[in-house]
Amino acid sequence: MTAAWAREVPALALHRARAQAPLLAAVTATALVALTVLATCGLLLTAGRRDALDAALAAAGTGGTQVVARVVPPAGAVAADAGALVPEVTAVAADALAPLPATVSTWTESPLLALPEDGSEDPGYAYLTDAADLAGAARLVEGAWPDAAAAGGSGPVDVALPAATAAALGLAPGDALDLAPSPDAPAAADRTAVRVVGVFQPLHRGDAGTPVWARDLLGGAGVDPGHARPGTSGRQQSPAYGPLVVAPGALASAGTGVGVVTVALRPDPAGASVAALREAAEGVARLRPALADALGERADRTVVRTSFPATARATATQHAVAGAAVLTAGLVGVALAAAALLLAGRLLAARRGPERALLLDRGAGRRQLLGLAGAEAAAVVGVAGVLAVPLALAAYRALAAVPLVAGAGIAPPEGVPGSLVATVGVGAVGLVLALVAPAARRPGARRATGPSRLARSGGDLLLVAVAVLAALRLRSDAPADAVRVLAPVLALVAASVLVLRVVPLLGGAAERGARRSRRFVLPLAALDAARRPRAAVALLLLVLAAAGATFGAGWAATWSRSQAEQAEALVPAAVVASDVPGSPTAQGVLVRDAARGAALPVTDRGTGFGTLVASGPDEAQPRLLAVDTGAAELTGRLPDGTTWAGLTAGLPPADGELVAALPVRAEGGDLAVRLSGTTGSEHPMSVTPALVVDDGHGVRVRALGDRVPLDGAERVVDLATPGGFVAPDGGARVLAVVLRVHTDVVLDEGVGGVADVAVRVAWDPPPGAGDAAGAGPWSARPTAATAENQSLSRPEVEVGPDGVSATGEVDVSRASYLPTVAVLTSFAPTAPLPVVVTEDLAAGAGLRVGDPLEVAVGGASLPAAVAAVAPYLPGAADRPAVLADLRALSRAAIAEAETAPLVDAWWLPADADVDALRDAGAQVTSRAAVAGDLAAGPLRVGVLAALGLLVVAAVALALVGTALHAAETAEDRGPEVARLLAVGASPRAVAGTYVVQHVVVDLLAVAAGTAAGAVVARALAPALTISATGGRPVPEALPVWSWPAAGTIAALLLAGSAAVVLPATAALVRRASAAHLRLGDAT
Amino acid sequence: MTGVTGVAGVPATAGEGAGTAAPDAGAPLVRVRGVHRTYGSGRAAVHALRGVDLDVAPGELVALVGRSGSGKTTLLNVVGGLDRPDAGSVHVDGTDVATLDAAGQVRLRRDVVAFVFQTFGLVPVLSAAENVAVPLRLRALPVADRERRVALLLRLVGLDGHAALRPDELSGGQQQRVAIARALAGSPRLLIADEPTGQLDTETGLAVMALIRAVVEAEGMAAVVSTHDPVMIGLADRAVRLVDGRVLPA
Repeated sequence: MTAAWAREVPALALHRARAQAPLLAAVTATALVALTVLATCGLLLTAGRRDALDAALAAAGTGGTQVVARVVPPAGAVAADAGALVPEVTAVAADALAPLPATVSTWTESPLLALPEDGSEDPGYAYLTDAADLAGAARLVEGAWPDAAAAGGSGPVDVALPAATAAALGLAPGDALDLAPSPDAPAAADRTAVRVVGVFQPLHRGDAGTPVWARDLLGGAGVDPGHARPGTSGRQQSPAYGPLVVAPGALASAGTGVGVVTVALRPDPAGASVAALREAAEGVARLRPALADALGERADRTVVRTSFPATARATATQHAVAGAAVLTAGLVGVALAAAALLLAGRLLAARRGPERALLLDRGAGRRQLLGLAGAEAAAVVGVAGVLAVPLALAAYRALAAVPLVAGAGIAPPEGVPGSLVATVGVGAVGLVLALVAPAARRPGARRATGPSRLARSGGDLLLVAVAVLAALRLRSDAPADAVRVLAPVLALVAASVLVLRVVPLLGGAAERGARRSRRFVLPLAALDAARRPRAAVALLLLVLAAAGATFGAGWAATWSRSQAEQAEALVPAAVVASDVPGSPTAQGVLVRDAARGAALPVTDRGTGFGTLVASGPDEAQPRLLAVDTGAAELTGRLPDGTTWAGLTAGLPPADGELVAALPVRAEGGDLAVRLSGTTGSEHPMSVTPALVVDDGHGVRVRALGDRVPLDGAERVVDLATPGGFVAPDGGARVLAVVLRVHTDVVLDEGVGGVADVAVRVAWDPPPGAGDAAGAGPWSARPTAATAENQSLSRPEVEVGPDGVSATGEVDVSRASYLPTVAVLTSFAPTAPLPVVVTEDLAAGAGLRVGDPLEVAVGGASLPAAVAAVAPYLPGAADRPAVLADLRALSRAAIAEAETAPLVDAWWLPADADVDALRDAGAQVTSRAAVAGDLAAGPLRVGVLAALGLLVVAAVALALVGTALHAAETAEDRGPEVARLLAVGASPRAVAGTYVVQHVVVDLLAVAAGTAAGAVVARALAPALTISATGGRPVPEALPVWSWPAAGTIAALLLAGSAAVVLPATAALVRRASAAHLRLGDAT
Repeated sequence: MTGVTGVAGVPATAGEGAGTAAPDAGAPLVRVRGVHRTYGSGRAAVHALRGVDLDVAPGELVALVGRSGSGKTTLLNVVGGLDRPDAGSVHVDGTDVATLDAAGQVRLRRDVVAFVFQTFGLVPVLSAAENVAVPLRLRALPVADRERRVALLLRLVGLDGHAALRPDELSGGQQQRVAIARALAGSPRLLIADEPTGQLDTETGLAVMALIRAVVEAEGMAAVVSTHDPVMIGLADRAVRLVDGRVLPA
C-alpha cells in the first residue's frame, strides 16, 4: 500500500485541489491574512522598534546623552597638568560609556582670578576659558572672536565675554582688564592682562538639546552675584563673572594656571541595543568614583554632570512598553489567526469527511492521511507565506507612511529583512499545525466528553487565575517587561474564555421565549442558537477580536489622554519662559511685551525643607514654586472634589502691600537714597542699606547700597541693582528697607553695652506723588538670626512720604561679629508661609495639613505651614514640591532679609510671541509642543501604531474567521435547509432563520467581547501607560473609554459579519436541493 | 417499538378539511403525464425520467418499485414540487405542479403534500414534539392548538412518552415515526415517502410500514412510497415499477 499510496498521492492531491479550488483559495487567503498580520507585527517589533529607538535617542539630543566630567586639579595646577589629565579623564569616561562610541571635546577653565579694585567692597572674580564647540552655542553680538593666530604673544590675552558679563563689568571691545591671583590661583602670574575683543550672547542655555553651557562654571549666565568666594570653602560669597573666552589653545600661554578641566563626551547610540544602552548607563553611573580612583591625588574634586542614565532608563522602558504593545497586537493576532486557521482546517476536514472515510475503507492509514493533509497544508501555507512577505512589507510601508509614524523616524526597511522571513517561517509552521489538527481528530470525536469538559473548565479557571495574577503584577510599581507583554494578552484571552461561558447561558431565556411563540422564524432561530451554540472556536474568534480591538482602542485613548494630561502637569502654563536675559524687571518688560501684558512672574527653583534630606537622583530634588495664585490658572487633573482654586485658596496674603509701599523716583533705572544715622555707642558703627523695590507690576528686586558710617552725616548712597532696574510706567515703589548695622571694630562680648541707633533712609519721590502713603502700616523687626543673637531690641519705624526712619537698641559687641539686621516693611509681620505640598513630600516628611516646615530660599529658611496637600504640582509633576503664593513668599523672604530676586521664570498665555522671547535668548517651553512630543515621541508612536495594527488585524481576522465559519455552517446545514423547505417552509423563512441566528449570536459575541475589552482596558490600560521618563504618569492615568471607537469597531464587525453571512445564507438556501434529502444527519 | 394501535381513533383536526376531505372518486389526486427529467447535458446527461405516466387516486397507497437509479426519487421529487420536470405535466390535487411559481410550490408542500425521507429528515436541534410542530408553526397555529395536535400525533405514532427527546436520543424507528407524525401534522392530502424503511431493521421497518398503511387509511390520504421492500409492496394497494426512467406496464 505504501508504494501505491506514494504513487497515488500527487494525483489525488492535484485532483482534489482542482475540485476544491475555491475552498483552498479561501484557506490560503486566511493563512495569507494571518501571516501578513504576524509579519507586519514582526517588522514593527524589530525594524520599527530599532528605528524608533534610534530616533528616541537622537531626540534626547546632546542634553540627554552627553556626559560632562569636570575635574578640578589641585590648586596651582598648570597647563601641563591639565594636558596630562585630559587623556586620562577621556579614557575613563569612554570606558564607562562602552560599548557606545563617543566624540570628545574639552574645555579648560582658569581658576577664579581677582578683578581689580574698583572702589566697591568686593569687586569679585573672573575666569578665562579655552572652549571648544562654541560656534553653535553663542552668537557674537559685538567685536570678534579671539584670534588663535594672535595668541601666545607677550601682550594681553584677547577674550570675548558674555553680554551679561560685559554689562555688569561695563566692558566693551577694546577695553582692557588686569586680573590678579586669588587663593584659588596660586600659580597665576601676578598680573594677567586681558583685552576684550568681542561680546557674545550665549544661546540655548537651558535648552536640553544643546547643553554646551552645562560645562561652564556659571552655566552661561555670565554673572553670579553670590558665588563661593575663593579661599573660603564656600562660606563667603563674591560676585563672579565669566567666561572670558580665549582663543583655542591660548589658556596655556596666559599664565593663569588651570582651575577646571571639563571633558564632554557625546555618545553615538545609533544602532545600539537596549542592553548596550543599559550597560553604558551603568558605567556612567559609576563614572565619578571611577574617575576619583583613576586620578587619585591629581584631582582635587570631580563632578560628573549627565542625564544619560536617566535617558537610557526612560528609553529602555519606553522601548519595552512599545514592544509590549506590538507583542500584544501580535499575540492577539496569532490567537485570532490560529482560531481562523482551526476553522479553516475544520472546514477542510468536514468537506473531506466522506473522502477520508472512503480512503480509510480502502486501507489508507491514518498516518498516511495525516501526511497527505500535512503536505497539502504545507503547500497552502507555503503559497501564503511567499505572498505574505511582500504583502507585509507593503503593509509596513503603508504604516510607515502615516505622518505620525513617519515623524517618529520609523522608515520602511531596505530589501527583505531576515527577521521578516523568519517571522513568516515560524508563523507558517504554526499555521500548518492549526490546519492539520482537525484532520488528526478521530472520526466521531466531535463532542466533548465529561472528563474533557472538566479539564477544559479547569484550564479556563487556571487561565483566569494566571491572568489575574499577571494583571496584579502589572499594576505594581515596576512590572517586568514580560509582564507588560503577557498581562494584556492573558487578560484578553481569559476574559474572552469567560465570555464564551456566559453567552450560551443567554440561550436559555431565548429558548423559553421561543417555546411560547406560534411563529416560525424567530423561535426556530432562538432554539437553534440556544441548542446549537456556534462552534466555540468561531465564537472565540469573534469575542476575542471584539475584545482585542476595543482594548486596543481603549488603551490608545487612555494613552493619548494621559499624554495630554502629563503635558498639562509638566508645563504649568500655555507658555513658560525661563532664562530670560536681564534683571527681573528687564525680563518683565520683555515678557510683558511678548505676552501683551499677560505674564506672571514665577519662582521655580530647587529647595530644601528643614532637615528633610532629599535622596535620589538630581532630578528628584524638591522644587519650590511660587506664583500669584490669585491670577494664575493652575491646570491639571485632580482627584474628584478637589480643585486648584480650593487647594490654593489660603495661600495669598489678604492685603496688598503696594498700598503702603512708598513711591520712589527711578528714572533711567538709577536708584539712590540719602542715608544718615547716629549711634549712642562710643565705638564706630555703620549701616548697609538694602531696599526692596517693586516695578509696579509685582516684580521686585533688591537695591544694594554701600556701607555708611553712623556719624550723623547725611550721605547720598547709590543703589546697585544687579542687571539694572526698570520701572517703565514710573510705578517704582519701596516695599521694604533692610538695614544691616555693624560695629566696625571687633569687641569682646559685653563690651560697649547697648547703644541707641537711629537711621534715616530718604529718597526722592517721583513728581506728583502725594504724601498719603506716609500713613502706611510699616513695621520694624529683627530677622530670626538677629533675634536669636539678641542684638536688637525695640525696633521701630516711622514713615514719611520720602523715606523711613528707624530706631532701635543694638548690642554693640554682638554687632561686631554678626550684623544686626532690622527689616522695615510696608506690610504687617507675616505668619508662617502657607504652602501646598505634594503627597510624596508629605509622605516622606510625615507632614499633614497645619504642620510647620521650613522652606529654604537663598540663604534663609522661611517658616512655613502646610495649608494643603496636592497629589502633584504643575511644573514639578515628577518630584516632591511645594507651592506658595509669590507675594506671600516674597514677604516671608524679606522678613528674613532675603532680598534676592525671586523671579526664575514667567508664565505666559498661548498667544505669546515665543519667537521674540527665543530671539532674546530665553528658553521657551510650550505646553502644546510638549504635548505633541509626548504624544508623538518615537517609541511612543510605536505604541499607537501597534494598537492601530491590533484593531485592524482583529477586525480582519474576525471577518475571515466569520466567513470560514459561515462556509462551514453552509456545508453542515444543506440537508437541514432542504428538509425545512420540504416540509413547507419558504426559502425566505429558512434564510431568515439562519440570518437572525447569526446576527443575534454575533451581536451577543461582539457586545460581550466589547465588554471584555472594556474591562481589560479599564483594568490594565492605565498601568500600561507611561510617562516620558518611563515611569508612572502624573497625574495618574485614568482609563478612557472611547465610545465612538468601540462603536465603530463593533459596527465594523457586525457589518462585516452580516456582509459575509447574508450571501452565504442566500447561497445555502439557493443550493439546497432534493439531493440533500437523501443525506443523513451524519453529514 | 410501540405498535400502531389506535391510529384509526385519531380525529382529524378541526378546520383542516383539505387533508380530510373525501377524495373525488372520479379524479386522481396525482396525475402524471409524459414527464421527462434529465440531469446534465451532452454525453454526461442522465435521463432520470423518460415519459412517465402515473395516476394515484385519493386514499390509495402506491408502492414505487425499481432498482437504484431507476428514477424513483426523481419522480417523487417532481410530484412533491421539489423538482421540476423538463417536459410533461404533473397535477396534484388539481394543481399543475410543473408550472407553479416558488410561492405556489411552498403552498403545495405546506398544505397538500408531506414527505417522509429515508434519512428521517428531522431537525437535529429540535425535540420530537418540536419537529412535529414545524408544519404547524409554519401555519402559525395558536400555541395551545399546536400543542394539542402534536400530542395527538405523537400518541398516534406511539411516541407520547418521547416528546422531549431529540433525534439523536431516539432509535431509527422512533425517528421515522416522528417524521411520519410531522408529515401528518399538516393534514396533507398526499404523503410521499422515499424509502422510509431503507435505514431500518426488518422489524422496525415492518412497524413503520404498518404505520404508514394505517395512517393512510385513517387520514384518508393518498400515498406514494418508493421501496425495495416486498413487505411494503405487499401492503400497498398497487405497485408501479420503474426501469431506467420508464414505468413498466403492470
